[in-house]
Amino acid sequence: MSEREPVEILLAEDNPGDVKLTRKALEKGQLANNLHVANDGVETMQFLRGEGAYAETPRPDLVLLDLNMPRKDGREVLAEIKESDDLRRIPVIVLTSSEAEEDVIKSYEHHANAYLTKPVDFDGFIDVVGTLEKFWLQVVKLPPE
Amino acid sequence: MPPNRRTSLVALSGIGAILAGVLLFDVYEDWQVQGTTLTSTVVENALPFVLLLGTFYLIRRLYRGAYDDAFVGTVTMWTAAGALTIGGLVAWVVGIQVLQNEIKPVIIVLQTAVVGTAAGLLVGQRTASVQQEQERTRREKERFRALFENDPSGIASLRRHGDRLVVESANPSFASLFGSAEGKALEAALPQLATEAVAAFREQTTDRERLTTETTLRTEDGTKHFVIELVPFGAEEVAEPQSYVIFQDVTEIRETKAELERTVEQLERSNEQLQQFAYVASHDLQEPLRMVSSYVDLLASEYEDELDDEADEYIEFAVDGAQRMQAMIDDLLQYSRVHTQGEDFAETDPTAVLERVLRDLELLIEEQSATITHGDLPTVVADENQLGQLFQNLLSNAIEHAGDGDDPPTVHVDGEERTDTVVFSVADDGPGIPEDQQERMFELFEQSSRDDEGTGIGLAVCRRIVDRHEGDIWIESAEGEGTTFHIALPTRAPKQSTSSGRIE
Repeated sequence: MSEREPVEILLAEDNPGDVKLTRKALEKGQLANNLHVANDGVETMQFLRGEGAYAETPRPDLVLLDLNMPRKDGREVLAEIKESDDLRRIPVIVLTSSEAEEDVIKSYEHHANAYLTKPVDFDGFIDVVGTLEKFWLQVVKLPPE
Repeated sequence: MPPNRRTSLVALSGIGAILAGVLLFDVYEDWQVQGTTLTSTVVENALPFVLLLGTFYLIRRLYRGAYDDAFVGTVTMWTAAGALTIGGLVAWVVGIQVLQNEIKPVIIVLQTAVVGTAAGLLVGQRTASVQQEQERTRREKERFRALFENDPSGIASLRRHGDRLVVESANPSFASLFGSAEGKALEAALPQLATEAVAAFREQTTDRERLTTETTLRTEDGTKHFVIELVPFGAEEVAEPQSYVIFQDVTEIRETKAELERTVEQLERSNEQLQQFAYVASHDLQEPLRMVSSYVDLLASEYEDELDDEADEYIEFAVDGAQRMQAMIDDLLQYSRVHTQGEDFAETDPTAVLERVLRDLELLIEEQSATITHGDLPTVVADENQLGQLFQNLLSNAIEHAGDGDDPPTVHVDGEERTDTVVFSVADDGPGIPEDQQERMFELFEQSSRDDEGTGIGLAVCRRIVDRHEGDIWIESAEGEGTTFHIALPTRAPKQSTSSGRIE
């Protein structure tokens, strides 16, 4: 599991503060990665389907999905991904500030691969992203593209 | 009247009759045969006369209690009259016959006096019954009149006359509402009343069925809302059936009810909004706070070497502020969850709940070397989790508070069953709380001198939980004598509070 291609991660997140935090946290990790960002649900779906401006972008190995986004929220995006024959194998990690039980249940009902709550402090955030990176990109064997 | 009393009555009447007969005969004889004056004869016979009166007095006594005075009076009078008349008459006849030596007088007098008494008794009783009946009817009428005349509802008595319902009489309330109506057809007396209603009243009067309806009518006092009741009465199968129609003014009741409903609705709405507000505030506030604390952290870690001590201090303050705010938001969330996340009430064993809480508090108990004891805790109807939270908040509060002193804290939990409630108490041996601070302790974010660690939400949550259970919580404390928190929870399930906030 040594020299691998950089992993492609799609972050669906509308808050630039969170985007930056995630980028920082991933930088602190050990894994080579390319972080792509989609600012709302519509962009996220376009990216995943390689539509429009995203025709040339690679297919992501992992999606980090915020639930509250403009235009199309994360819940709809999750449902669409998991209903699509083509996209459903991509692991989707819900990464949100919502602790609402309803959101957790709904997410798993729509086959989210994991549900994580964003920790309040940066150290906690780094821990979460680090753990996530380690588990999903090093421990877990993902389906071939 | 019981049989033994009746027997005595008959016997006494007989004796009375005989006495009357004998007396009259004697008087007659003295007067006519021996030629004394009437006055002296009566005086000579005073003793039997008194005996006679005594007998009738006894009859009266026997009747009294079973019948009223008027009844007994009438019977007595007629019995006496019967006895005297027949007895006297016969005595007179017999007297003449005896003078002619034709017959034994005593037998005849006795027989006829008995007949006279019986006849008198019978007639008397009959007369008294009729009188009593008449009196009863008169009183009934009076009573009804008083009711009818003074009833605040407008009442009219109706009689079906051909195709129409005619108002036979109407009470003053009716007249003051709708003007004079007597003798008029109902539709003429109350032209505002819907034709269908008049028709229905007519049918129901004929069919002898009660009917209740509501309507708004103009009256001399303005527009009012009435509950109208039609009550048929009188014998069945008559040519002209009768009924009462009663107009009960419910304007005020209706207005009060509507007002009350509006108020309740407003209260429910504002309560719901408040819950929503607390929830949204705590949830949506997290997001920007997370930005503040994360970036202050980032600032501190990435520019560690470039900043001077003062800048580090600023950052420390910012971090501290963000942390405190986070704690408050968490508390607020916990506070709002009392209602949004409440479970149903069920019979709960407080001992099991307390034991679970004690396990959770193990660390704190060990740290403070606290001794926790408890007595018998009666079963309550409660939300088990919230009961646990109550115990946990009160216990940790007590341990921390009592732990301020030199000796390790001792806390005793107890329960007492009262009418419809169970009162739990959590008593510590700490320094106590001054009276003027006690009520404030239950307020949101109230930081009393005794609690400088948390944000002061624990007791506010306790009160909210107790409120949800429709119970009560209070403090009993004196400085230097420890503090006891009492919680009263109902033993029956209160009306379930609706958790109308967002489900979390």
